[in-house]
Amino acid sequence: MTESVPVLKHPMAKYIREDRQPWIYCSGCSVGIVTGMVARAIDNLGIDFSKVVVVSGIGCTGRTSGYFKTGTYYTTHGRAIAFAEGVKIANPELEVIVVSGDGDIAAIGGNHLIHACRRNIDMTIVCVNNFNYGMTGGQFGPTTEHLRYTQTSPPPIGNVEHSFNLVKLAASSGATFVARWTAVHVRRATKSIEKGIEKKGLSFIEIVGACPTAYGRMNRLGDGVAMHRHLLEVADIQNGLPPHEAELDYETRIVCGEFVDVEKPEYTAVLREAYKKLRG
Amino acid sequence: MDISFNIGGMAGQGIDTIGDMLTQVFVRTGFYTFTVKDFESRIRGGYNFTQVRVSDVPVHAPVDHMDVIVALTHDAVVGPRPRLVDGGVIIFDDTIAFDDLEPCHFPAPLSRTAKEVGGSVRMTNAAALGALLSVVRFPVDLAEEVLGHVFARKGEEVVEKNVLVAKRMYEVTQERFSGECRHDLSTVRCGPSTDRLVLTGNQALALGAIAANVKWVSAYPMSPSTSAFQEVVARAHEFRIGTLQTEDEIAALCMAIGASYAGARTMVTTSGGGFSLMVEALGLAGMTETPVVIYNAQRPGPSTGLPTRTEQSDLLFSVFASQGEFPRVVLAPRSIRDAFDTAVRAFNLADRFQVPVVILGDQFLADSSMALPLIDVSTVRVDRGVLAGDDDTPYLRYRLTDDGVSPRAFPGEPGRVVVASGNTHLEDGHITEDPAIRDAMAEKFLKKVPAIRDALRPPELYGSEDADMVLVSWGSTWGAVREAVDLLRAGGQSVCQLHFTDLYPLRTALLREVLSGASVSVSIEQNATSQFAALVSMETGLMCDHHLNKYDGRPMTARWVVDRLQGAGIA
Ligand SMILES: Cc1ncc(C[n+]2csc(CCOP(=O)(O)OP(=O)(O)O)c2C)c(N)n1
Ligand SMILES: [Mg+2]
Repeated sequence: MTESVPVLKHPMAKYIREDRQPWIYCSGCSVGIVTGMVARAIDNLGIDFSKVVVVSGIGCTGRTSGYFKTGTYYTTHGRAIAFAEGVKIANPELEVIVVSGDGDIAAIGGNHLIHACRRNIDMTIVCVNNFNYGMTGGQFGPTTEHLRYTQTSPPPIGNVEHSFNLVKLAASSGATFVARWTAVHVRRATKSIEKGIEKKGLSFIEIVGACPTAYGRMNRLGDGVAMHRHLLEVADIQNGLPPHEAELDYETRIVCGEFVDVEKPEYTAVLREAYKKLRG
Repeated sequence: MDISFNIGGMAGQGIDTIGDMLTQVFVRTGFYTFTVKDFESRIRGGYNFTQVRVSDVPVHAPVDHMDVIVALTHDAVVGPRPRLVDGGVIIFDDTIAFDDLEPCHFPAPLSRTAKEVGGSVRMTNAAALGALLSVVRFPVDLAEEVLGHVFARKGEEVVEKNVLVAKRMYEVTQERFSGECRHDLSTVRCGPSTDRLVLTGNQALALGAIAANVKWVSAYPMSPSTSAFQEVVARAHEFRIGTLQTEDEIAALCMAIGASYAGARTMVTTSGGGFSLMVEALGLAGMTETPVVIYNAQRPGPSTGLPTRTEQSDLLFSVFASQGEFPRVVLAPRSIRDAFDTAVRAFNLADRFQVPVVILGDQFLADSSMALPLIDVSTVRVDRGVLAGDDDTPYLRYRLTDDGVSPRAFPGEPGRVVVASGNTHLEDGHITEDPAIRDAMAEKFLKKVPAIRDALRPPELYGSEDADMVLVSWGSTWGAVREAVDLLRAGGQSVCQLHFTDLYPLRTALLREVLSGASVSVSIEQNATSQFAALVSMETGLMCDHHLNKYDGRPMTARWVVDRLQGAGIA
């Protein structure tokens, strides 16, 4: 039988490196969905893909950058944002998107996150919050909820620490666009990523996701389907809610929506204006 | 007997489970095992394998060849074929589409038997175990004796079913496997080993730290060190150890230094990238003479490098890291058992000399496992070094002494003010810019070095020091190089091994003797730039004649050493 079978190309295939398939992700993982959101946002905006740079730190989420068919940089753990700031300042024409994990962005890279927000440098940070360190096998991180079990907060005690609320953190650090969605809110999340890309300033978008292999298993949260179904059930969409009310409780209520969308002079624009003035 | 079993497939398919079970079978029947894990930096998929080497004498290194393979994916059937010996066997599930059958291939009904006999495909692991044992004609009565124990962790009903599945697959294989396996164990009885403790290098290291009374471990997860931290975390309540997973490695070492200042024995566990972040704090520990143990499970760098592979390329980095000059110790365990002793020695050295001690492990040592005799922890000696006595009044944390070591005291002790400072300081710990004091404090550091060197282990000479050729090695390649020496000597070569576990400050007496006596010297290292040979030449002016370097991230084997030596016309 030598009949040729017509193969339908995935509409996002033009952005994605098919030669790197299959994905490294476990079944039921949210990271692939988020990769799709970023691709769709770029596609919907119709921006010049060759001007897009995707930067990530180290982690399962971080591996996303390498799947994009454009300039990408898989940096070191925690440094994606600092690196991206350098890219943006050196060439403000580039559209800089950071995609990385909760640990990468809020633990080891937490300092860079708050300072980039404070500077208000034009970039879009998409942070996949799967409540743990997926890549290294499921240790607790800065977003792991109190008393949850992980490899390094095992039963019977669980996590003695408390978690960051990333929306509140980014908002109070000065980000000019802040949103949160879960991995099942593909359309809405994609829209927010689009707004983030269009925004002249620092945009922070948290995507609450599932890591069934590590966090899900340790906390008996079910498989990937069950976890994503749960995300849909507990999501509470509250666009425009003040960010300090954007609560996140995995069990009962994950407030989703766009919470901050304000105007503030952007770093590279200020710099450009200042130089223009000096030159007269 | 020396057989290598190889279980290959994707991450998440149960490769480790089959490897562990196989290890258990042979350990329980009195054989020596050595298990290495080869895996990609991903949680699912890819091509990974576990090699279990079984022998009737202790072995400390993997081998390149494979005798019996269990393949859980198509890739695992095809990929390792060139490394299969003549008379080897590749067992794979008959649902894998693979048609280029040779006599070495055995498509077996693994998943089908698991489902039919055990009621679940999850028992495919047990079926694979049965097929493996059958192919090498491992005596069925011996197998029966141990299978129950092997599955015992799983709960009673499951145990029974797993045993049934394994037994059934053993029989099916007897009936259907028509190929030839070069290994026939049908006459083996129990092996000579009485070793019972199966440990990885990281576990041995963590247990050594616990035996040495570690009271504080802070870390940020980083392969391949994470399992050492997790081993301590799992036992933290039992042994009352403070553990904290920090926001990054900077915090990890700073916290450990803080805890040490407060009086606890402390350790951090990390790999090269994390150690890079710790360098600033390393200097603080050096300047403030605060004991701390830093375990660096090396992986190939620079940067994130190869996260799940092995290398010995942080040696000079460990010796030189930080601005300024201060005494430190660098140790590299040579084996899994030695990781335990090294941890104990590291804490004692740190406390005795009030210096940071770096333990250089690597992924190979960290993740491989072997059966060991039980360790008698009552022999572990805890030496906390000199502590302040009644006559130390007023207390001076940095009192100038003959040997450079000042008695320690801890904050909160009545009547003593314990002042530490990262700036150059006076004897009482307060900062100063006085040039005479600066000199005195620098000399205080220098004075410690000869005593540290004397307290370290001299290198180990394997073979005669009159041998024509000396192989110079360090750290975890000990077993592979030692085995290479055996192979070469069996072929009539005059060769010895000079192996270092204690690297800095370097002990040079035996080194000078052996290096100047041998007609040919070869440094063998798992890095590209012969870092240890460079250290030797820095300390002694002596050069090795040749350098063997392995930097592909895979563990060293005796065969590799011999082939390279012969290929270069050296042996
Ligand atoms: C300096 C340094 N420390 C530790 C690591 C090990 N490491 C790699 S990824 C990771 C955590 C990833 O977690 P997260 O950022 O939440 O991403 P996820 O894998 O969950 O998507 C860690 C600890 C590293 N690569 N570098
Ligand atoms: Mg994460």
